[in-house]
Amino acid sequence: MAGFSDYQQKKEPKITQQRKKVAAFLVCALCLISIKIFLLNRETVPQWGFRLLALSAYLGVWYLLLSSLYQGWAGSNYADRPNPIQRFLMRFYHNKLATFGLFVVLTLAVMAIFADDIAIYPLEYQAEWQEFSQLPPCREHPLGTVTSGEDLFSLIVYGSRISLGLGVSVMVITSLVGMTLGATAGYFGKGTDRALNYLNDVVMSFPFLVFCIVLVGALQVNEAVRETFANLAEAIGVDMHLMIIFLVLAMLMWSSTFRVVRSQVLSLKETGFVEAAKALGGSSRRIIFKHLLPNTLGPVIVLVTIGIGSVILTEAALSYLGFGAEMTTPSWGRLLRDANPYVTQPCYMYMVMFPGIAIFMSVLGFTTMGDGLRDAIDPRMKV
Amino acid sequence: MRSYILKKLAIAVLVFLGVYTIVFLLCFMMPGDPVRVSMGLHSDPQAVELLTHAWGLDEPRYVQYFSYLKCFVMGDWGISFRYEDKAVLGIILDRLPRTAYLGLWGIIFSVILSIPLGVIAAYKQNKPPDNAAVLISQIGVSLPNFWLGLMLIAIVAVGLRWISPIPQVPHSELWSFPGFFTSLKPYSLAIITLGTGMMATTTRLTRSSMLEIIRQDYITMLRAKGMPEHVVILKHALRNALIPVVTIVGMQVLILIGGVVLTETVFAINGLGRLYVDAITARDYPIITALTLVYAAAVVIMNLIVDLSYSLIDPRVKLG
Amino acid sequence: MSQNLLVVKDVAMHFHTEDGEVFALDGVSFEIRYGETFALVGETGCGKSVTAMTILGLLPPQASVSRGEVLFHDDTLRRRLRMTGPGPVDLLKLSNRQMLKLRGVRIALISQDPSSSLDPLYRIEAQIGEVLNTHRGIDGKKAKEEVLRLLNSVELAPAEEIAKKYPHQLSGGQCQRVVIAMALASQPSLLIADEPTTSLDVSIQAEILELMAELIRGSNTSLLLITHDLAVVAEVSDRVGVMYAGSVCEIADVRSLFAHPIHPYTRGLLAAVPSITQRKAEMDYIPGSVPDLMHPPAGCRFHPRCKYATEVCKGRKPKMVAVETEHYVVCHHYAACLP
Repeated sequence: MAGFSDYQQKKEPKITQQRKKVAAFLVCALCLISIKIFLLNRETVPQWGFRLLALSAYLGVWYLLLSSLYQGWAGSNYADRPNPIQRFLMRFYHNKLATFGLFVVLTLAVMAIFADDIAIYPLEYQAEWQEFSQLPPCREHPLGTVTSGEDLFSLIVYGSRISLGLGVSVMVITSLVGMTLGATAGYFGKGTDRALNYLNDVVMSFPFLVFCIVLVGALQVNEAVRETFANLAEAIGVDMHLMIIFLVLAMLMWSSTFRVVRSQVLSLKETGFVEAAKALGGSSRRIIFKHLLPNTLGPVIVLVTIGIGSVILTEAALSYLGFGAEMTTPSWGRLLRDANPYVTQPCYMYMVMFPGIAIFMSVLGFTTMGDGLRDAIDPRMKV
Repeated sequence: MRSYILKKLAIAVLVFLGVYTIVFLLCFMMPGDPVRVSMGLHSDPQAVELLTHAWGLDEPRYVQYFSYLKCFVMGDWGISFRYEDKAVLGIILDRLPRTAYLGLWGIIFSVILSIPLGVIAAYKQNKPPDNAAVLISQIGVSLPNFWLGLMLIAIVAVGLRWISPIPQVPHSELWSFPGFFTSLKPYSLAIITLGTGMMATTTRLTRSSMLEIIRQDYITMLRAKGMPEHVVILKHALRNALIPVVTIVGMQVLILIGGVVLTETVFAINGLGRLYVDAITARDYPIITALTLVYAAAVVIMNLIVDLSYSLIDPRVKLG
Repeated sequence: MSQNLLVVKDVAMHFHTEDGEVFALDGVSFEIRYGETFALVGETGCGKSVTAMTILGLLPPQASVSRGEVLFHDDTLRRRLRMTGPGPVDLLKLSNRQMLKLRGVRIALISQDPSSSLDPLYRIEAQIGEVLNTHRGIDGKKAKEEVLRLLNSVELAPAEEIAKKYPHQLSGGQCQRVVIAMALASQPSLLIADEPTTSLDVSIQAEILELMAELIRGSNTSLLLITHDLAVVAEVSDRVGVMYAGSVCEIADVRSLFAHPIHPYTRGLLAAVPSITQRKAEMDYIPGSVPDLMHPPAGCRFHPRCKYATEVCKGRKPKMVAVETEHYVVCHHYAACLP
């Protein structure tokens, strides 16, 4: 009986705590929605000062929401040793760089999702050619305007959609492919393993960027590919060249996931619990999906996070070299390519600086977050 | 020893053949008949047929596959479309010195900075020097190197006027004795641009490798034997930690080649990287094919060197 | 007291981990005399190895010693440290630089896993030569001769061949002999052997133990033997200290300890050893499990598992009591357990 009353006493405050948490969550959500509807809206507030204020309020509420959730989970008021999830959150929370990375990634996500509202001018907007092109930062154009007269800030905001969209879609596809191939090669071994490993070796011995360039170059000029992609791009509403880059990156980036999953599966295969599952008559499919793949998820999540950063970097590099987005697509790399001729004129430095900062910060965000995730999941993980 | 080398050599050759096959297939994806491209659109059909036959393009594909491979191995890499009547091999050899100079100094720059940084970071784990080294390497990994190059030009070359934005050194001078060092100043921005990314990855790897080694029993034992700290860290821990670092520095050639393409474009250096970009834009197929294969060969050879150098550093590698 | 070489007095230390403090040692006291073999016994994780590392000052950075002294009576060390006057040296107060004059010279270590305690990238002769060069300042041809002499002294033959080999080319037993040769190279006054035979085959275990005993008998070196193997203890040691959850609970002459153990933990430990002469229906074991050192039990650390435990044990730490000559016990209720 004593044990039961103890249980009751402990349980009571927990329920009120949970109610408080739910209430705070609802208030925050309400704040988010109202800021989104009333403040962060092009039609209601045309001035960029207000919009930035609203944006920071919006991010601030997000931050509050997340940090309250953190403290709920990662708070050090647990009775005994923390469970793995608490430990993970605690480690991540104490890692300043990782928290910074998470914040950058969230900002980027908000920017991409609400780009229409955050950007000051719509995507189709173009200032009068003569008067407004290449304006330095001013009140109407916080980051100035580019050669074609478009507002640089708006272009960068729209560009986040391209970078983030490409990064996420490429990494989702490649990690799925990499996991499937890695698990197959690691589990079944023998010929499958040898063949896949050979393919991986071949892909790995191409200098990555050079391979991207030659593949993109070849695909861009191929008539059949052009036709297919032009139709597909029109149907989805994406730049055709970006789709080609997507295809190329998806073909090349599976190898890191493949290698990690394969080696993990190889070592897990020898462990007791897999042998036990086999001895109990578990089918290969069941063992792979229930026992092996869940154990490789940690490294894969880390790889995906860091990989998104490198996809953003590669896309920017390809666009900078002229193998990327079309003139009308506001890719960050393309903005840098356009600014390239003006690099020797100090008065136009803003055109070089800001798109680069956007690329740098987003890649930094994803790498630091990925590193933080790795340290939080398992500091000795080899990725 | 011999069978180890032979095995590694066989793998290298196989991988190179795989790369060659992919490049060969890619060539058929690119549009345009090379004969027509080189002779112009309105040429005599008979002459076209003659040239097609002369270049062996009317043969079945598998014959072409082997004949080009044979030509490539013999050093007969064809004639560039763009630079008329110039052999591809000659063009590449002409551009090679600049790229090699840039690449070599890029690697030296990155290794000189990264290994001490990684060692200090591991030795002072979770203390300010470590945090600084981790931050530096994170920034280095995330910096788009072409943007870094552009900013260096804008700030150091244009703003402060310290050096000219574009390195102008005759390439005969690059590999002569005083020239090898005196050309360092005009090339410095390009070298920093190229080396930063590699520096960052090598620092990370040296750090994590050192951390792993420092935890080993024999390091504790060395300390228990009363060895001074500098002997423990520099003579024993570092040498053990360098084994995986050597792999990565070897693998850096992969990143290096990509970095060279971007760096040479930013700094308008007439090297192999820029040649490659120009060739793709101009659809100069002989150069594209040859250069891709040269890159692949460089990577394969580098991997081979790394594998063989293991046997020199690590006595545990089984030879034979 | 004058015959004591090393006196460990009430040492307590803890580790800072991300989950909280781990109180690894709490009140460890024992002494080692000149030329004797002192065994420290206990389960895995009871703080035996940590005690050794505390003596050598080789604790990881997240560890901190909160109280206690480690007194080392050694005139050679005093001379090396340029200290004047008589009396022991407190090892816990020495700087890292001063510890270098001690480690490997006056106190040497033999570790658990011989094959991983040698640097894999250097030949045996280079590794022994390095020790000789650092501590005795010999190098060149003289060092080579000395290396061969040392290898011969640990019965590694042919010495010339072994010297040229890398650690991975030797067996575990051979590696351990090399480690012993290195440890004894500068004739230390104390040799700490941390589970020297655990990772070796049973047949080689005996050889290594015999070799160590023989080498020590010749010189006046004391041996601190850390082990969980009671058979080894009975075989080689003169006196025994029993450790439980970070503190010493009984110290006794080896005969006295095996004949009539007093502390309830020691009794449980000895009863748990299966014996071929007395077949029992059930194996004896100690109920409960080793405490979590992050939240160690207050008072006597053994009280949750002790059948004699009373309220006193929960509240107050017991003190060390001499029950007879050469037999000390740390228990409130030792009287109940006397033979």
